[in-house]
Amino acid sequence: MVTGIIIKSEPIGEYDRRVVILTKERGKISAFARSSRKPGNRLMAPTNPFSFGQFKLFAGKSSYTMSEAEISNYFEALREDFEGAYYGMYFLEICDYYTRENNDEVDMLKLIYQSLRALTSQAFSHKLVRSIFELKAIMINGEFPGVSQEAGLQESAVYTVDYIMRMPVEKLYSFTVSEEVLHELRVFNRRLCAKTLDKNFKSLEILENLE
Amino acid sequence: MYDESWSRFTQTGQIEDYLAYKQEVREQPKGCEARDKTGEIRELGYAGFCIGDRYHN
Repeated sequence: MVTGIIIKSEPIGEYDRRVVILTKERGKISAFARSSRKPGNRLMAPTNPFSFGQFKLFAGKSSYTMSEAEISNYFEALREDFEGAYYGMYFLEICDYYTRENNDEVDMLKLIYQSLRALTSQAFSHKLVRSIFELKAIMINGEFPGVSQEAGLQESAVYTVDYIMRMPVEKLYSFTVSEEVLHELRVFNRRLCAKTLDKNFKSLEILENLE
Repeated sequence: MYDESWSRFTQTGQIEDYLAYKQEVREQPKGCEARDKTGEIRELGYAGFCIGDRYHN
Protein backbone atom coordinates (compact mmCIF):
# COMPACT_ATOMS: atom_id res chain seq x y z
CA MET A 1 0.00 0.00 0.00
CA VAL A 2 1.37 3.43 -0.93
CA THR A 3 0.20 6.97 -0.29
CA GLY A 4 0.45 9.31 -3.21
CA ILE A 5 -1.07 11.32 -5.99
CA ILE A 6 -1.68 10.46 -9.64
CA ILE A 7 0.49 12.82 -11.71
CA LYS A 8 -0.07 11.20 -15.10
CA SER A 9 -2.58 8.88 -16.64
CA GLU A 10 -2.73 7.49 -20.16
CA PRO A 11 -5.00 5.00 -21.87
CA ILE A 12 -3.51 1.67 -22.85
CA GLY A 13 -5.33 -0.73 -25.16
CA GLU A 14 -9.09 -0.87 -25.06
CA TYR A 15 -9.77 -0.61 -21.31
CA ASP A 16 -6.52 -0.23 -19.35
CA ARG A 17 -4.62 2.72 -18.01
CA ARG A 18 -1.00 3.33 -17.19
CA VAL A 19 -0.58 5.79 -14.34
CA VAL A 20 2.34 7.55 -12.76
CA ILE A 21 2.04 8.01 -9.01
CA LEU A 22 4.17 10.28 -6.86
CA THR A 23 4.36 8.33 -3.62
CA LYS A 24 5.49 8.95 -0.08
CA GLU A 25 7.19 5.57 0.13
CA ARG A 26 8.78 4.90 -3.26
CA GLY A 27 9.13 8.18 -5.09
CA LYS A 28 7.65 8.30 -8.58
CA ILE A 29 6.38 4.94 -9.84
CA SER A 30 4.42 3.56 -12.78
CA ALA A 31 1.48 1.26 -12.40
CA PHE A 32 -1.07 -0.42 -14.63
CA ALA A 33 -4.72 -0.31 -13.78
CA ARG A 34 -6.33 -3.09 -15.78
CA SER A 35 -9.88 -2.57 -17.06
CA SER A 36 -10.02 0.81 -15.32
CA ARG A 37 -11.62 2.43 -18.36
CA LYS A 38 -14.53 0.03 -18.41
CA PRO A 39 -17.72 1.90 -17.47
CA GLY A 40 -18.43 1.57 -13.76
CA ASN A 41 -15.02 0.16 -12.93
CA ARG A 42 -14.01 1.17 -9.42
CA LEU A 43 -10.56 2.27 -10.57
CA MET A 44 -11.83 4.68 -13.22
CA ALA A 45 -11.99 7.76 -10.99
CA PRO A 46 -8.99 6.99 -8.74
CA THR A 47 -6.69 6.71 -11.77
CA ASN A 48 -7.37 10.27 -12.93
CA PRO A 49 -4.70 12.91 -12.39
CA PHE A 50 -5.00 14.81 -9.09
CA SER A 51 -6.42 11.80 -7.23
CA PHE A 52 -4.71 11.67 -3.85
CA GLY A 53 -4.99 8.75 -1.48
CA GLN A 54 -3.82 5.24 -0.86
CA PHE A 55 -3.13 2.75 -3.61
CA LYS A 56 -2.74 -0.98 -3.29
CA LEU A 57 -0.14 -2.23 -5.75
CA PHE A 58 1.36 -5.55 -6.75
CA ALA A 59 4.95 -5.51 -8.01
CA GLY A 60 5.59 -6.91 -11.47
CA LYS A 61 8.85 -7.28 -13.42
CA SER A 62 9.15 -3.67 -14.57
CA SER A 63 6.12 -1.96 -13.09
CA TYR A 64 3.30 -2.27 -10.61
CA THR A 65 -0.32 -3.28 -11.02
CA MET A 66 -2.98 -1.42 -9.09
CA SER A 67 -5.66 -3.51 -7.47
CA GLU A 68 -7.40 -1.05 -5.16
CA ALA A 69 -7.48 2.60 -4.30
CA GLU A 70 -8.94 4.68 -1.52
CA ILE A 71 -8.99 8.34 -2.46
CA SER A 72 -9.17 11.03 0.20
CA ASN A 73 -9.07 13.99 -2.17
CA TYR A 74 -9.98 14.15 -5.86
CA PHE A 75 -9.49 17.92 -6.03
CA GLU A 76 -12.73 18.00 -7.93
CA ALA A 77 -12.96 21.78 -7.58
CA LEU A 78 -10.30 21.98 -10.30
CA ARG A 79 -12.78 20.50 -12.76
CA GLU A 80 -14.93 23.61 -12.35
CA ASP A 81 -12.02 26.02 -12.56
CA PHE A 82 -10.60 25.97 -16.07
CA GLU A 83 -7.64 28.17 -15.23
CA GLY A 84 -6.98 26.36 -11.95
CA ALA A 85 -6.91 23.06 -13.83
CA TYR A 86 -4.11 24.33 -16.06
CA TYR A 87 -2.11 25.52 -13.07
CA GLY A 88 -2.60 22.12 -11.47
CA MET A 89 -1.49 20.32 -14.63
CA TYR A 90 1.59 22.54 -14.81
CA PHE A 91 2.46 21.62 -11.21
CA LEU A 92 2.03 17.93 -12.04
CA GLU A 93 4.38 18.33 -15.01
CA ILE A 94 7.02 19.87 -12.77
CA CYS A 95 6.59 16.99 -10.32
CA ASP A 96 7.08 14.56 -13.18
CA TYR A 97 10.17 16.46 -14.32
CA TYR A 98 11.89 16.47 -10.94
CA THR A 99 10.98 13.24 -9.22
CA ARG A 100 12.48 9.76 -9.58
CA GLU A 101 11.69 6.22 -8.53
CA ASN A 102 13.03 5.11 -5.14
CA ASN A 103 13.95 8.68 -4.23
CA ASP A 104 12.66 10.35 -1.11
CA GLU A 105 10.07 12.63 -2.69
CA VAL A 106 8.02 13.34 0.43
CA ASP A 107 8.64 17.07 0.22
CA MET A 108 7.54 17.23 -3.42
CA LEU A 109 4.44 15.22 -2.56
CA LYS A 110 3.61 17.60 0.29
CA LEU A 111 4.28 20.57 -1.99
CA ILE A 112 1.97 19.40 -4.76
CA TYR A 113 -0.75 18.52 -2.26
CA GLN A 114 -0.61 21.86 -0.42
CA SER A 115 -0.38 23.77 -3.69
CA LEU A 116 -3.44 22.06 -5.17
CA ARG A 117 -5.31 22.88 -1.97
CA ALA A 118 -4.19 26.49 -2.27
CA LEU A 119 -5.40 26.57 -5.89
CA THR A 120 -8.85 25.42 -4.84
CA SER A 121 -9.02 27.87 -1.95
CA GLN A 122 -10.31 31.41 -2.42
CA ALA A 123 -7.55 32.82 -0.21
CA PHE A 124 -4.73 32.80 -2.78
CA SER A 125 -4.45 34.04 -6.31
CA HIS A 126 -3.38 31.40 -8.83
CA LYS A 127 -0.41 33.53 -9.79
CA LEU A 128 0.86 33.62 -6.22
CA VAL A 129 0.42 29.86 -5.84
CA ARG A 130 2.35 29.34 -9.06
CA SER A 131 5.20 31.60 -7.90
CA ILE A 132 5.45 29.79 -4.57
CA PHE A 133 5.27 26.35 -6.16
CA GLU A 134 7.94 27.04 -8.77
CA LEU A 135 10.36 28.54 -6.27
CA LYS A 136 9.86 25.88 -3.64
CA ALA A 137 10.15 23.02 -6.16
CA ILE A 138 13.46 24.42 -7.39
CA MET A 139 14.64 24.85 -3.78
CA ILE A 140 13.60 21.35 -2.70
CA ASN A 141 15.58 19.91 -5.59
CA GLY A 142 18.71 21.80 -4.66
CA GLU A 143 18.82 24.03 -7.73
CA PHE A 144 18.15 27.44 -6.19
CA PRO A 145 21.17 29.72 -6.63
CA GLY A 146 20.01 32.40 -4.20
CA VAL A 147 19.09 36.00 -4.89
CA SER A 148 21.90 37.99 -6.43
CA GLN A 149 22.27 41.79 -6.45
CA GLU A 150 21.80 41.77 -10.22
CA ALA A 151 18.27 40.47 -9.78
CA GLY A 152 17.41 43.98 -8.57
CA LEU A 153 14.61 42.82 -6.30
CA GLN A 154 13.19 45.23 -3.77
CA GLU A 155 13.46 44.33 -0.09
CA SER A 156 9.97 42.87 0.33
CA ALA A 157 10.46 40.57 -2.66
CA VAL A 158 13.79 39.37 -1.26
CA TYR A 159 12.10 38.76 2.08
CA THR A 160 9.37 36.77 0.34
CA VAL A 161 11.87 34.56 -1.45
CA ASP A 162 13.73 34.02 1.81
CA TYR A 163 10.45 33.19 3.58
CA ILE A 164 9.59 30.59 0.94
CA MET A 165 13.02 29.06 1.39
CA ARG A 166 12.84 28.88 5.20
CA MET A 167 9.27 27.70 5.65
CA PRO A 168 8.42 23.99 5.75
CA VAL A 169 5.96 23.05 3.05
CA GLU A 170 3.11 22.63 5.53
CA LYS A 171 3.31 26.32 6.50
CA LEU A 172 4.07 27.71 3.05
CA TYR A 173 0.62 28.99 2.16
CA SER A 174 0.27 31.35 5.04
CA PHE A 175 0.94 34.75 3.51
CA THR A 176 0.03 37.02 0.71
CA VAL A 177 1.90 39.84 -1.04
CA SER A 178 1.11 43.10 -2.78
CA GLU A 179 0.58 43.20 -6.56
CA GLU A 180 3.94 44.93 -6.91
CA VAL A 181 5.85 42.22 -5.04
CA LEU A 182 3.95 39.51 -6.89
CA HIS A 183 4.93 41.07 -10.20
CA GLU A 184 8.61 41.16 -9.18
CA LEU A 185 8.42 37.59 -7.98
CA ARG A 186 6.94 36.47 -11.30
CA VAL A 187 9.64 38.21 -13.33
CA PHE A 188 12.31 36.71 -11.06
CA ASN A 189 10.76 33.27 -11.39
CA ARG A 190 10.49 33.51 -15.17
CA ARG A 191 14.24 34.09 -15.44
CA LEU A 192 15.03 31.43 -12.83
CA CYS A 193 12.84 28.79 -14.48
CA ALA A 194 14.26 29.56 -17.93
CA LYS A 195 17.77 28.95 -16.55
CA THR A 196 16.95 25.98 -14.34
CA LEU A 197 14.17 23.92 -15.93
CA ASP A 198 15.36 22.64 -19.28
CA LYS A 199 12.04 21.44 -20.56
CA ASN A 200 9.06 22.94 -22.35
CA PHE A 201 5.98 22.30 -20.25
CA LYS A 202 2.90 21.77 -22.38
CA SER A 203 0.46 23.29 -19.90
CA LEU A 204 2.70 26.31 -19.34
CA GLU A 205 2.33 27.39 -22.97
CA ILE A 206 -1.43 27.55 -22.54
CA LEU A 207 -1.12 29.13 -19.07
CA GLU A 208 1.02 31.96 -20.40
CA ASN A 209 -1.74 32.75 -22.91
CA LEU A 210 -4.39 32.63 -20.19
CA GLU A 211 -2.40 34.90 -17.90
CA MET B 1 -18.47 8.52 -18.47
CA TYR B 2 -17.25 12.00 -17.85
CA ASP B 3 -14.25 10.68 -15.84
CA GLU B 4 -12.89 9.41 -19.13
CA SER B 5 -13.30 12.78 -20.83
CA TRP B 6 -11.72 14.55 -17.84
CA SER B 7 -8.79 12.16 -18.10
CA ARG B 8 -8.47 12.93 -21.83
CA PHE B 9 -8.36 16.66 -21.09
CA THR B 10 -5.61 16.28 -18.48
CA GLN B 11 -3.61 14.24 -20.98
CA THR B 12 -3.96 16.56 -23.99
CA GLY B 13 -4.42 19.92 -22.28
CA GLN B 14 -6.59 20.95 -25.22
CA ILE B 15 -9.38 23.41 -24.61
CA GLU B 16 -11.66 21.40 -26.93
CA ASP B 17 -11.30 18.41 -24.62
CA TYR B 18 -12.24 20.54 -21.61
CA LEU B 19 -15.34 21.74 -23.43
CA ALA B 20 -16.20 18.17 -24.36
CA TYR B 21 -15.85 17.19 -20.70
CA LYS B 22 -18.15 20.04 -19.58
CA GLN B 23 -20.68 19.02 -22.21
CA GLU B 24 -20.69 15.45 -20.92
CA VAL B 25 -21.17 16.67 -17.36
CA ARG B 26 -24.18 18.74 -18.45
CA GLU B 27 -25.66 15.70 -20.15
CA GLN B 28 -25.32 13.48 -17.04
CA PRO B 29 -28.68 12.78 -15.40
CA LYS B 30 -28.84 14.68 -12.12
CA GLY B 31 -29.15 13.52 -8.58
CA CYS B 32 -28.80 9.76 -8.67
CA GLU B 33 -25.08 9.17 -8.23
CA ALA B 34 -22.79 8.89 -5.24
CA ARG B 35 -19.04 8.48 -5.29
CA ASP B 36 -17.61 6.60 -2.40
CA LYS B 37 -14.00 6.47 -1.23
CA THR B 38 -13.05 3.60 -3.53
CA GLY B 39 -14.08 5.66 -6.55
CA GLU B 40 -16.94 3.45 -7.51
CA ILE B 41 -19.89 5.39 -8.77
CA ARG B 42 -22.99 3.74 -7.50
CA GLU B 43 -26.05 4.53 -9.47
CA LEU B 44 -28.68 4.57 -6.86
CA GLY B 45 -31.46 4.60 -9.35
CA TYR B 46 -32.37 4.55 -12.97
CA ALA B 47 -34.23 7.03 -15.13
CA GLY B 48 -34.87 9.40 -12.23
CA PHE B 49 -35.76 6.92 -9.50
CA CYS B 50 -33.60 7.06 -6.38
CA ILE B 51 -34.07 4.01 -4.24
CA GLY B 52 -31.41 4.68 -1.59
CA ASP B 53 -30.05 1.35 -0.36
CA ARG B 54 -31.01 -0.81 -3.29
CA TYR B 55 -27.50 -1.20 -4.73
CA HIS B 56 -25.49 -1.20 -1.54
CA ASN B 57 -23.61 -4.43 -0.67
